[in-house]
Amino acid sequence: MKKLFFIPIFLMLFTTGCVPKSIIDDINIEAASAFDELEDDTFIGTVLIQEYLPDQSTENKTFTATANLRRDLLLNIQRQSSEPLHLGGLMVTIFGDKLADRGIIDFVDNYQRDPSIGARNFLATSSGSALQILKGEYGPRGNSDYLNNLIEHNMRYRDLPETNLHIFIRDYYTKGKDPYLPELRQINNKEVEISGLSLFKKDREVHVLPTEKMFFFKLLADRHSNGSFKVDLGIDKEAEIKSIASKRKIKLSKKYPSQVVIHIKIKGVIPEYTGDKITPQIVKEVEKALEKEVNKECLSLVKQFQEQGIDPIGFGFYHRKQIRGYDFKKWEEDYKRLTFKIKTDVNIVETGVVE
Amino acid sequence: MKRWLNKKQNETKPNKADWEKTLEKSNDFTRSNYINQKSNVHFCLTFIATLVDEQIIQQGVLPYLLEGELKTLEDIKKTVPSADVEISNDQTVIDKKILNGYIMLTIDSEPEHFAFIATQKEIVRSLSPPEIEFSVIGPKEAFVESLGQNLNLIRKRLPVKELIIEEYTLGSLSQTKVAVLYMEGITNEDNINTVKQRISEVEFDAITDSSYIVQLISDNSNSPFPQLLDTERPDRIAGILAEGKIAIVVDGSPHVLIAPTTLIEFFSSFEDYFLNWILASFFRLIRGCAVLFSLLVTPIYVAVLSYHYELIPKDLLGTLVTSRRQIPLPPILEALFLELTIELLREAGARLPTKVGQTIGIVGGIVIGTASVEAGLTSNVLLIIVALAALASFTTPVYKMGNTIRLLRFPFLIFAELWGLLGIVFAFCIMLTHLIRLTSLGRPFLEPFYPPRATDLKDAFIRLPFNKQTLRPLFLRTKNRTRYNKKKATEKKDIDE
Repeated sequence: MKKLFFIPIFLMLFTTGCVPKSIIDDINIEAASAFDELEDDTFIGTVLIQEYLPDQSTENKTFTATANLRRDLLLNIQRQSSEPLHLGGLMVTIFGDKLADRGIIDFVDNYQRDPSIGARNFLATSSGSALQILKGEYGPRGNSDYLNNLIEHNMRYRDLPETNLHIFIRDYYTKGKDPYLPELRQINNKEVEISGLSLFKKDREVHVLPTEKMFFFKLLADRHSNGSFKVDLGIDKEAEIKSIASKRKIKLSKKYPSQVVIHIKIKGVIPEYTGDKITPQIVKEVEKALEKEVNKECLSLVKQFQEQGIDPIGFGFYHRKQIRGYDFKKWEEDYKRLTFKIKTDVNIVETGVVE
Repeated sequence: MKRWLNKKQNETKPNKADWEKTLEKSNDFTRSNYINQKSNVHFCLTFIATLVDEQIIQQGVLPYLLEGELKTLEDIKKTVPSADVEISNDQTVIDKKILNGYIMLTIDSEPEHFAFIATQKEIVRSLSPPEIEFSVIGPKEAFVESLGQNLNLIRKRLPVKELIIEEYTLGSLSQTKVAVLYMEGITNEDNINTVKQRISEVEFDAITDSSYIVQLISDNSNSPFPQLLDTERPDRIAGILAEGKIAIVVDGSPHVLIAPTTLIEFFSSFEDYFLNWILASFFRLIRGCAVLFSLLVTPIYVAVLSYHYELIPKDLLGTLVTSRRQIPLPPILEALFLELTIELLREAGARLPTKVGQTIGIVGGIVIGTASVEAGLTSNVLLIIVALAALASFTTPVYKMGNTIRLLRFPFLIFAELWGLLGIVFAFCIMLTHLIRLTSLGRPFLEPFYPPRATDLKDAFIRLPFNKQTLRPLFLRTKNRTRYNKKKATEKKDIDE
């Protein structure tokens, strides 16, 4: 028994060299990367590294290389780096316009297999050059932090539906659902913004949803936890609804499999109102107006997806899930014939302290 | 003298000249002859001057011997006002009696008989507050080096006839008195017999402290974990005796042993019982976390910085990289350097008198710490971590367990360096396996976690109120499990009802 006990200890001692070491100050940790495609089927990639300076500030450093094959890219970049590059610190990956049109799954697949890369990494597309976004200067905390926080807070509190590496891969492999990613645009060397939402068919970008529609898209695809929206009530009357929390339910019936009913429930608070006193009547009015607008916009969005043949909300998935014995091979045809009905229920819970 | 005291020689009949010859070599061996004034009987007193109290001889023995009726040895019992007077004709006990502080009295007419009168000099330190297990609330008495006084401290806390004290003499040279205490009708017979057997089988020449007994009778002497708890608080001893445990008091040691124990007892301070149960539970949980923190934080630092950089949160990465930028050493050497420095400081502080010790603490903490950071030998993040870990290890209420924890950190560090987090898990598994196998007097050391005993969890990580603790710990297998009858207790009505 005692001898047996020593075997694992000896094994541990003799196999210590098998574990590759990566001491944090002796490696370069990739913080963000961007990929794009050049004219002649070659890829170009940029890797961003945060250099931590002794005075606690950070410096952005980028390496750029081209290659014919995806896996050569990192090798070519390694040749420029003073210390070995490691992927584990990755926060944001941006895919250029061209590459997104061609398909990005090869790159994402690489991330999926590397255990050091977290599943909550952000993926994004760019309008314009992806590489230039990384080469900007967006504040003292470093570009990767900036981009990461930009996407994160917009997902948590604003109109961007939640996406990350995990959700992208899930949507990609789910039958009857297509992924979507935020689109970034560099305004100038010091500013960058979220310019829309890229909608994919499998791994190819098909359409970019403008920012005005993102609120409605999030109602359909995800749920709001702290959104805000402005409602017009005719001349000189505007109400802003805040702290919007929404839920949506998609219902199918076996009887009418070609009709999809989407229930959207919205709860909100009115902190700003440009008219006079808010009476219960006005609250009703606001609720009605919002309901109407949501119904209209959402329906047009859904119909647009139907025409484009993409399914970011996952109606196909709901068919598979909710209808027993549904033959998914028919889905492509069924989708074209699908009719939609949107029922919205808005509830204003509070109108401010002063009555 | 040493050879003369040897047991084997004692078995062969020692002749009178033999013990006298050896004792006469010592200067404090005294023999003087007197004559009784009434009966003119010649008598002789033999004693060792350093062991007897001269005041007792001058005031309590000699006047009566010189002026009282003294014809035979039997008369001593009438004349000398001392409770401990013994008359014997056994030559083999002479040396023991004399060396225990008795004076031997012989009369020419009765050469075969000797009388022994107790005149021991008791040099006793006065009671002082406990130093290692100090508590803000609660009694401020601690054990001292005298067996009699220690037993008195326990007896007066448990004045019942069920408290049994059995005495043994151990050590061929030191002749140390060891007392085993237990409650009859409560304590498990098996436990008592195990303790008695192990104590009576101890073979050692000089037992100068209770720590010797711990090492000699514990179940696994190769374990870094202490398996018997030692305490300097008489109230704690009274408490554990009532629970059904056994106490071992050793003469000359201010620490009393408790057996059997469990691991969790080493992390519970007796002050926990003086506080409200919510506060006590909170402090116990803090202490538990501190122990884990102290054990694992430096190894985790080494493992993460050497192998698992991707585990570091992005906001912390900058701080860590900046702090390590100038350091020429890999994380393991950096950590070992600092850990050893802290151990050096502790060791130096423990060996020096208090005032110098404080200076050393300041020199070590401030000068060495900041200087090594400024010189670029260690990172300031690690300095904080190591200092906190050292601080956390001192929260263990039992000093010996704190030492064990600090020692265990080093194998953990080495495993962390070799295999990263996997190595830490492996080291933890080894430690856990060892703890599971460990026993204290044959009772499982890791109880109530392994074997799981839900009822004993009431007084483990958290301490539930006394009205929930109606039963004695299960693992002690006490003869009478109920501490008090809950029904009876609730039957009594409040005075204002």
